[in-house]
Amino acid sequence: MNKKVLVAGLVLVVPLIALFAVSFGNDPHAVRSPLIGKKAPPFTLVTVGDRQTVSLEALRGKPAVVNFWATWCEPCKMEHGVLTRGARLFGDQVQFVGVVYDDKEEAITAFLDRYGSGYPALIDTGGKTAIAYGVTGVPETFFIDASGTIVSKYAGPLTPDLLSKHVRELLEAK
Amino acid sequence: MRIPTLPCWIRIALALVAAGWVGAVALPAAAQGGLPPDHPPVGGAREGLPPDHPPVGGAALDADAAAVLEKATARAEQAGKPVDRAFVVSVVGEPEDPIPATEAELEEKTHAIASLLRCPVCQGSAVADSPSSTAVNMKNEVRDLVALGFSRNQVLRYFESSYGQFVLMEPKAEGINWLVWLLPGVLVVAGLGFILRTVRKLSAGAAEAPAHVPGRGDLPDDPELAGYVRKVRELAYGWPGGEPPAATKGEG
Repeated sequence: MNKKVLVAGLVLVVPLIALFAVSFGNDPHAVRSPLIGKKAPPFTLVTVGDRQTVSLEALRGKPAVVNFWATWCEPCKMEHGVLTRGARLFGDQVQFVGVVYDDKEEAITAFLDRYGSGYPALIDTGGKTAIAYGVTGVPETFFIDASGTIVSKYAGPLTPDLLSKHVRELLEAK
Repeated sequence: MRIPTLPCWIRIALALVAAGWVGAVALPAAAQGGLPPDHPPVGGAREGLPPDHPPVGGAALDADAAAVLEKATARAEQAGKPVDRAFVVSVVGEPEDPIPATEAELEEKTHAIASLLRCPVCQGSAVADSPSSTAVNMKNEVRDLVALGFSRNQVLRYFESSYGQFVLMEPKAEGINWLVWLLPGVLVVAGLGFILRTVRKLSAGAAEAPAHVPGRGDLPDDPELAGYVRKVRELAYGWPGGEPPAATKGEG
C-alpha cells in the first residue's frame, strides 16, 4: 500500500512542481499581449488642460511610448518620475504619450502641477482606447515603432533600467 | 458481512473523484449561466458570412432600429469617444447582425455577451456581473458594438484580439485547452473505474474469509500457548482445567 501512496503522491505533486518550476522562471509583469507584432490600435484623444488633439497617426515616423496611467494608482506615481526623465533623455528619438485611464480632469491637472509633466497626458473617457489596447490595469506601457507596430508591452511600474531596455529594443526595431 | 474501514488513501482518492465531478459538472454549468439552452459553444463559430449572404446591418433600418442606433450613439458620445467603427471593422469585418430593433433587445444581447467576457480586474467575474469601472466600460463598449450591428462572435473576437483568450470566460476548445474540457471527464471515468475495482476487491476478500470463526472454547495450535490460555480461562472464568462448560463449548 505504501508504494501506491507514493505513486499517487508523485502523480499529484510532480506536475505541480513542474508547473511551479516553469512559472517561477517567468516575469509576471511581462504579460504577453496578442497585440505585440501587430499594428497599434489608432486613437485620437485630447490633452488635459489645453484640449489639443493628439492622434497616434500623427506620430507615425517616430517611435512612441504609450503609457496608461491614473492619478489614483500608487505605482503610477513612482513611475511618473522615471517616464518624465525618460522623455527628457530619449525625447528627440521617441515620443512619450500618457493616456489617463478612468480619472477626473481636475485630479489629473493637480497631479501634473505637483509632480511635473514632460509629455502630453491624454484623457481616455469611457476607456475605449484602454479596451482597444487590452489594458488590464495601470500602469501599462506599450512601445510602438515608427511604422505603428507594437514592439513590446510592460505591465507594472517601469524602472529606469526597464525603460532603457525597452526603448533600446524599440530604437533597434526601427 | 463486516463493513470494511476504507484505508486513508482510498478516502483521498474518493475525495479527488468527487472534486473531479464538481469540476466536470458544476463549473461548466456555472460558466454557462445566462446563456440560452440553444446557445452554440463560445468561440467555436469563427467563420464569417458566406460570400452570397445578403448585407446585414447596412440595409435600410426600420424606425425602431434607427432610434436604437441614435440613442446608442448619443449615449456613447455622452460617455466619451464613440466606437472607432473603422478600426473594429478592420479587426472583425463588417457587422454581421441586424441592428437590435428595441432597447430591450439591445440590453438582452449586451448582457448575454458581457456574461461571456471576463472582467480583467476582478477575480473570475464576468463583465456582466462586476460593478468595477473597467467592467462598466467594457459593457458599454459591448453595447456600442451591438448597437452598430456587430454579432456576438464579432464582439468576442474584438475583445480577444486585444486581451487574448484570457478575456473569454470559457476557454476555446482547441490545442492545450482540450485538457480543460476533457480532463474532468477522464478523471471521473478513471475514478469510477478505480472505485469499482476497489469495491470488487474488497467484496472478493470478504467472500474468501475463513468459514470457521474461532469460538471461546477453541485453543491455539501451539501446545505451550494452549496451556497458558487454559490457565487464564481457569482463573478468569473458573472453568476447571480451562475447559468451557459443555453447554457453551464452541460458541462463537
